[in-house]
This record gives sequence, structure tokens and C-alpha cells, in this order.
Amino acid sequence: MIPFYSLPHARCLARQLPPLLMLTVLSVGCSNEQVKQLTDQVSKQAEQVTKKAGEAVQQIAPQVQDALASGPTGEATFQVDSSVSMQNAFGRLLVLKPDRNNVLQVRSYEVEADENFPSFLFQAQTDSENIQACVGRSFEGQLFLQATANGPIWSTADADRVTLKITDQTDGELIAEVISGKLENELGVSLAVKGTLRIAVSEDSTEVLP
Amino acid sequence: MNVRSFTWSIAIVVVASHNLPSAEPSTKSPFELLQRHATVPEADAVWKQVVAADSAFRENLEKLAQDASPDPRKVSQGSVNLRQLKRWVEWLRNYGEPASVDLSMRLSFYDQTLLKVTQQFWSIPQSGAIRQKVIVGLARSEKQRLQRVAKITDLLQKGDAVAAEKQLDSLLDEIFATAGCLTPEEVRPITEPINQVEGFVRSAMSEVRQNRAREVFTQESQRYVDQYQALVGAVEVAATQVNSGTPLLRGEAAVSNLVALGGFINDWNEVHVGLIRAVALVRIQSLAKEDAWTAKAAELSTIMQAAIIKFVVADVSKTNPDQASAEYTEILSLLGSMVPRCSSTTFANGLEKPLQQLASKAGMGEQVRKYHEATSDMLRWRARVANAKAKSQAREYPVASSLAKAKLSATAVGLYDQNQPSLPQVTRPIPDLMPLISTAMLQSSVTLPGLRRLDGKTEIWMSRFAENLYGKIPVNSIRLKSPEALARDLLVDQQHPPLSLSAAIAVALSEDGVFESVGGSITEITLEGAAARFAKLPVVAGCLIPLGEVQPAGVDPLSALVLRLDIEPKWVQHKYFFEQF
Repeated sequence: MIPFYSLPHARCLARQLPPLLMLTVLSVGCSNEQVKQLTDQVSKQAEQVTKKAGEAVQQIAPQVQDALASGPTGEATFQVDSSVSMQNAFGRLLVLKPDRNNVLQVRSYEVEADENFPSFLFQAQTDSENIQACVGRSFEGQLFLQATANGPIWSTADADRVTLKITDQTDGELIAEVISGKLENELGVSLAVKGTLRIAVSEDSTEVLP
Repeated sequence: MNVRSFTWSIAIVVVASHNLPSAEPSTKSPFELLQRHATVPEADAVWKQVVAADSAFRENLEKLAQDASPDPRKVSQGSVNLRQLKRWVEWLRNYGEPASVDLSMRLSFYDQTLLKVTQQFWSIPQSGAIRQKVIVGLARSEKQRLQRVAKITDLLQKGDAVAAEKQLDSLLDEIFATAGCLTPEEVRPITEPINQVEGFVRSAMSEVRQNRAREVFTQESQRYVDQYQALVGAVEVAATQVNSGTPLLRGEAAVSNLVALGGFINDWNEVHVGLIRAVALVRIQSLAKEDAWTAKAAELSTIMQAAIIKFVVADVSKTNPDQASAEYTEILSLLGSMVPRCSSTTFANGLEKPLQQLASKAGMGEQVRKYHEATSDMLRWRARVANAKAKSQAREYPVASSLAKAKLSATAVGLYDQNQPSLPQVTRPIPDLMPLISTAMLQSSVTLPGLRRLDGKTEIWMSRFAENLYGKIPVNSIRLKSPEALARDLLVDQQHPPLSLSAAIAVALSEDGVFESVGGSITEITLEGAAARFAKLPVVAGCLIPLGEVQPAGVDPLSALVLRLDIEPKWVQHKYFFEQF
């Protein structure tokens, strides 16, 4: 199985190569018959190229994975009753406009299956159109935070909101702070929350899934 | 139940029943009789007769018990009335009515009380002379009595047990109208010539009534199974028709696939209730091996789920692209309500693929995928929080059935039998049990699993049946703020319906008033005969048992009870939120 993030590369290769060959064909004058032969040849070649590209992608997939593993993955620290730090923080903007608000989603995992503890999810609705446009803006949303798998869960009460401000961006990461808000745990204890985050901007995985 | 406590209880009941007329035994009205299912139509009249006779008898007995020199005519009339009650209760037992078990125990108590009253009469100075006069009177009519006994025997020999019973009963009633105040030694010579024929008549009529019940139960349960088979057949035909593009009919009218699907879903609930009733009837008289019957509910569920998926698949392939968008949101709304009613998870999974295809057809594939990404993790965390909050209440709000088993156990109240510590049963007369149940359980805080608002226009919630217990939440007691916040998180409003099955389910759970659990305090406890509860389960209360299941085996012998707890709710756990009141 090819990791989903390697697929755009495969698609690009497949998309780009056949038009180059087509150009060569069109620049030489020839009969209909010849054109047909050439076209067949080209499509065969294109098939082969696509296949090769696929194989190449499979070969480089582990390298891509390694490269990504060493790339930005963000980090987050929150203070509620104690300080909780996470080695990962991924953010993405899910564009649902024009029908509905867009959604800014920041969490300690890229896909749900990868979730480890400590874990968090911040989610806010916004009219920002893309992730770059989020820089310098504040977002009122919900925060869920759980330090251990069976431990207490801190979350935003329905009537409350936590404000996350994205202050800057650097090297594919957004710098953000939780500037205000309260969280409550399951026993109803309510405390102020603060936090600092470096958010790795993840591609919207919905766009690269096959 | 001693005379004193009995007297005290009556005073309470007279007051209570004026204020709160209730037709079931509860902590507020402990003397009411267990409801009948009246599957045998005659049982209804007998039950009503017993209700009236029982209450009248109790009042008279109460007055007699307070009298230092009881009137012998009243004592004798009491004995006639008690005999009538006993006969009718036996009829109820023959008809498979659970009220008969409790009544038999109440009648033993009446027997003892009436004996005490009679003994009181024997102890008054003029009693001997009065009894002598009665004996002389009865001796005069002896010849005529013997002729009547001969006639009864003759009727019985001719096979007319019904007429024999009628004549026998009227003969005995006449005798005891005066002989009821005599001592057993004085009565014996009078009834001796009748005893043998009475035994024959009673056993013949018991058989007649049991056969009658067997016949009706067989017919009724067969009717429910026929409905089941009709639905299975109709669904299979419809699934083929949808595949081949043949228009569907409901009744005589051509209907869209979705309307037909909605109709089948309603029918499923009705047939589900039918199977529960059928299983109850089969069990009352051990009509058949019940395994085959209980399996039908599971079979039906498998068939229905597969058919619904087939419908959706076929519908997707037949829908025009320009209608696909409307069809998508409509089908989600239908399935959002439906899916949570089945306990199966494979069902929802089987629906995902055709739904995705429909979304793509509508050109909404990308939008739906992003919507799913924007809502599914939110739902996952919301469920986690709701669970944690409900769990944190477990100490203060123990599970109701566990609390009942502990507080009403064989050694505590005795509602549960020592040999069957999970099955509440009539172990003593209900009026005797009720004050103990009240003291042990009323006002206790409990958790009940699986709460659902009844279908239709009611504003009543019921919790899922578990260990012969369920809860009822009264009208208008659940008003929530959280559904609004949930809808906002799901980016849903009136113009913007949910775009994924999980979001549609989340919204439907709020709209249908479906909760994972409820916590609250017990305001009233009502006892129901388990057999009657299930044999006459109303269609709207089908949610007591999840689709695909019937009541577990062993929960509904004639002596088994179901506890119904009225709950004043303090909190509810929705799948995706927790709200306190």
C-alpha cells in the first residue's frame, strides 16, 4: 500500500509525461495512417511511462516517508491543571464554502488511527479561505485535551469558546497561542487554559486521497 | 400480611386511589391487580370481574374483621364471594394471565383473615344456636341437592362440562350462602356428596379453558409469524423490483423507492413487536420450542438490513444526477433515524459505499469527504467526553437493575427468589411487597441504559428493558440545550442538512430523543406481569427491545414481574453530549 502523501507525485509524473511526447508527434507532418500508428505507439509508451512512474513511486515511498518524518511535525504545550506537551501538532483548513463555514482543525495526530496520548483537538469555524490567510487571526473554537488514554478529558463547555491566535508562520509551520478560554473536566471542574503551538501545516488529506 | 398492616394499607390505598387512579400495582397504589394481556378475549371480562370483586371483598372483609360479633349472614356471604374469586382466579390462570399468581397469594391471605372472622363468630354465645338452625335448614333441602348433583354428573357424562360447571357453581353458592358460617366439621357432611363431581368438573373445565388458551395463543402467534413472513416476502420482491427498475407499490399506489423503504422500516417495527408478543405467548404455554421463534427476530433483522442496503444500492444506480443531491440528503435523514435502532455495526458500514456513490453522482463527492473530515473527529471527541461524564456519575447513580437486585433481594425484601436472584417474582402478595419496595428504592438515584422517546405524538421516554426492569420518564421533563451546540459543530441548520451518515445519525438521535443513558431519582415503582408486558406490548413501545432481538429467555414465566421505574431525570447521556438539568 502506497502512503497517501506519495500519491500526488505519482499523479504529477503520469500527467506531465504524455503531453511532452504528444508535442514531438505534432511537430512532424504525416498521414492519417502514420498519425494513428504514432498515436498507438505514444499511448503504449505513455502506459509504460505511467507504469514506471508508479513503480518509481513505490521505490521512493519509504524515502519520502523518511523525509516527511524528519520534516516539520509541530508541537504543542497546554496548561490547565498541569502542563501537557505533545510532540506533534498538525493543522489544516477544510474548505466547505460556499455552503457552510470552513473549518480550521488542529490536532496532535495527522490521521485518527495515529492518535497517541497526550492528545488534543482544536476545531473552529472560520471564513478564512486558506491556511495562509489564517496568520494574524484569532479563532474561537473548541478544544479537547486528554493526557492519558484513561485519564481525565478536558473540553470546552458548549457555552464557552477557547481562542487560538495564529501569530506567525515559519518553515511550513504556524506559530499559535491559546490566548483565552476555559476547559472543564468530566467532574465539572473548570479551569483557564493557555497554550503555545507550532502547527505543521498538513495537506488536506481529502485532496490527495485516490 | 397481618390484619393490622392490611388495615393500615387499605386506609392509605383508599386515599391514594382517589387522587391517582391507576390500574397497576405501584408504590402509590399497591392494591391494584397486575394488568391482563387478555389474548383470550374472555379473560378481559373475567379480569374486570375479579378487579371489582377483589376490591369489594377486601372492603367487606376489612369491616368484618373490625366487628367483635360478626353477622353470620355476612360471614357466609364472604365465604361465597371468596369461593367465586378463587374460581375466577383459576380461570385467569388457565388463560395464562400473570395476575393469577399474585391473586392466588392474596386469596390465601383472605382465607386466613376470613377464618379468623369466622372463628370470632363461633366464639360469640349465640353462635351455636344460629349454626344449628342453619344445619336444620340445609338438612331439609338435602334430597333436592342430591338430585342436582345427579344432574351435574349426568351433564358431565354427556360431555357438557360448561353447563355442569354453571350448575355446580350455583349449587355451591346457595349452600355456602348459609353454610359459610359453619365449622369445617359441620360443613363436611353437606359437601361430601358433591366433592367428587366437583373435582371432575373442575379438572374438565380447567382443560377446556387451557385448550381454549392454547388455541388462541397458537392462532395469535401464527398471525404474528404470518406478518413476519409477509414482510420478508414483500421486501424480497421489492428489492428485485428496485433492481429491475419496476415501479414499487405500497397498497395500490405507486411510490418512490424512498417512500417504499420508509414503509418497510415502519413495518419492520410492527413485525418486531409481533414477534415479541408471539414469543411471550409461546412461552406462557410452552407451545413450541422457543429457540426457533426467538431466531426469527434475528433473521428478520439480517433480511431487513440486507434489503435496505440493496434498496439503497439500487436507488443510487437509478437516480438521475439532477435529483441525486436531494435524494442523498433525504436518504441520509431516513437512515439517520433507522441505523441506531439496529444494534448491528455492519449495517452502517454496508451503507457507506452506496451513499458515497450517490454523493459522487450528485457532484458532492469532494464536499461530502471534506464535511466528513470536518465532523467525524469532532464526534469522536464529543462521544469520549459524554462517556467520561456519564462514567463519573456511576458512583452516585448506580445501574438501576443492580440496585434493585441488591435492595430487593431474597434476604432483603424478597422480590427476587433465592434460586433466581436476577428475576423479580411474585413471592408474596403484591400489597405486602409494595411498602417494602417503597422503603428500599423510592427516591434512590439510578442510571438506566438506552433511553428513547416513544414513537408517535407522545412525550414519554422509555429505557431499554434490562434484567426485567425499565424506566419511564414523564412528559415534558427533558428539555435540552446541547442539540443546538451539536448541530452547530456539525455545521447543520435548517437549510444545511448533515452530509455524512454519522452526522445524520447524530442529529437524528437528538431529534428522536435517543440517549445512551439517563440518571435520575425514582419517583414511583410499578409492577407489571412480565408475560402480560410482552404479550400485549404496544407497537410504540417496541423500542423496549432493540430490533433484531426479543425478550431474553426465562424472563417471563407467569410468576415473573417487570419493574417499571418512574424517573425524575437529573442528566442524560446522548451519544455525543452529556447534559445535566
